[in-house]
Amino acid sequence: MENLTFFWESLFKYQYLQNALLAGMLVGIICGVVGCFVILRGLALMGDAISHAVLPGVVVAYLVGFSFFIGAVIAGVLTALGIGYIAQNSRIKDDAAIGIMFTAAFALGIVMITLQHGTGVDLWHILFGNVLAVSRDDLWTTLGIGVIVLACIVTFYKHLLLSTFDATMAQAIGMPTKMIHYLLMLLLSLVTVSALKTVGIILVVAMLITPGAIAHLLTDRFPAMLWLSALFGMLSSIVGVYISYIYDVATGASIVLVASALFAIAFLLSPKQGVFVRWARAHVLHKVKYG
Amino acid sequence: MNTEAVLEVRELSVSYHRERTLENVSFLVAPGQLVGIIGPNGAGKSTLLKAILGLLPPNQGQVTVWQQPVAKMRKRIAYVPQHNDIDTDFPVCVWDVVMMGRFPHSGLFRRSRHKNHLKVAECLRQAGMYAWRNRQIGELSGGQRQRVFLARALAQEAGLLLLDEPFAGIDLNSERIIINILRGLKSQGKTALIVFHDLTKAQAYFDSLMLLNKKLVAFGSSTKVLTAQNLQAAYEGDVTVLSGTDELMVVTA
Repeated sequence: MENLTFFWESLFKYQYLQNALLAGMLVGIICGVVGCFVILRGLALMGDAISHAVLPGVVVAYLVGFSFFIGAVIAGVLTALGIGYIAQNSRIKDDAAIGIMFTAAFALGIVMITLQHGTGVDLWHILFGNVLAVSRDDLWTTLGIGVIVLACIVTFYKHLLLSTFDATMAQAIGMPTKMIHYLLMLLLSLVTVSALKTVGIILVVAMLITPGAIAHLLTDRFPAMLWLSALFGMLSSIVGVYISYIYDVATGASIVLVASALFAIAFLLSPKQGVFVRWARAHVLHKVKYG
Repeated sequence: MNTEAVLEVRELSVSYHRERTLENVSFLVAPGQLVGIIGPNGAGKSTLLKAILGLLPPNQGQVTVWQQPVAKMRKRIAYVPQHNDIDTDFPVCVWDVVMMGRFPHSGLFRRSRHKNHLKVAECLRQAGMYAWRNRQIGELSGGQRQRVFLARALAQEAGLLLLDEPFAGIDLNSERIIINILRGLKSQGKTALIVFHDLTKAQAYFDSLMLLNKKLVAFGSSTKVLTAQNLQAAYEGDVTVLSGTDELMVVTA
């Protein structure tokens, strides 16, 4: 209780804390929504890959002095195209192609950073986030990305839903399924950049997958899954920032651990899917039937 | 060019994973017909459906639907996928799936919500699945799920339906409902191509049969197609003719 009041008071006192909390909440919502498509399409590994692969784009953007977002989107989409090209034009399977391309891009980024000794790019901050350094400007760009991402999803909702659920029918009625795939990759790159400061490149995949997975365990309707996923993403960020502030631990990692804990609860206790709930139901029914 | 035909396939050859799965297949389908596609495993039955839909690029040959290239006619063709192509854990309920059949018709701003709603309800009732409309699709039996996907195809209001093994592994009640729906479509002048495997029922269910084994072995009325000679050609060694002239055959494929 004391901690809560302390957090509440600090929140009014320090703008950096306000920024951190708001940025975390926005990132939780954006990642949560995009993540639903990522997990239902079986693209969790791809999500991890794209988020890592934006690194060289971000570094180049920083050195040359243009926007992070452009650099990240170019690097992300190029990697996605490269993965598709390798998988379709050789006997190398998807997951191997993903492994090759994203580690290559990531390593390239690290080499580029370490070449620039002493310039402002801090590898640690890009990899693990630096939520205390979120400025008002960062907040606005995150909000901008959020609006773009959500607008894309609302506009192409039917395309995304049908091509995720039944790609063959989507193709058969003439939907451009390849374009939809690359649109999603583009959104993934954008989302990664928006999460750069809060959770960092390494852990952003958790924000993409875990809230969506929690939601998937709790509902049978896709729109509800999107809402719940956004909600759990946001909740994880709030609790994570709180824990990080009170106990003075890394913010991104706290956010991710909160999401993981929520997943564990849903995994055990979800009314329909929960492992414990199903076990208990079978057990009690058995007792009722056979004494 | 035949002006009557709903579907015209000319000298179609398709390779899939570098293997030739269809070779020089040509046929015409008249309107108001139920066509059963039969043949051994790997005969290219599913490939044929996908090639007609334009999902697999042909090595050569042409497909026209109502004398037009398929790309222009997509809204008038409905496809029912093989049941194991579907992720049954996906968070959609029966109603949502059938509503997907309305996607080709609902433009962004068209005031079609009410009409779509009525159509989905009607198609669900036809398939006997209205009472199940709020169930998640993983909670259904195989036959019920197949009826839901047929209801989705009905909701598309297509003139040509392509069904990939709709009768595989389903209960008798579902089978009866599905064949009745197909007959209803036929009486409205619609056409359906159905991949099928039960030779004993093929004659009763379809107006014409297509016997396929990479090449088109035979196409026409069931009496013309289901001869010992044709079946032996299609199923190769796996047919035993039990009594010569009365044509009692066992296919062991």
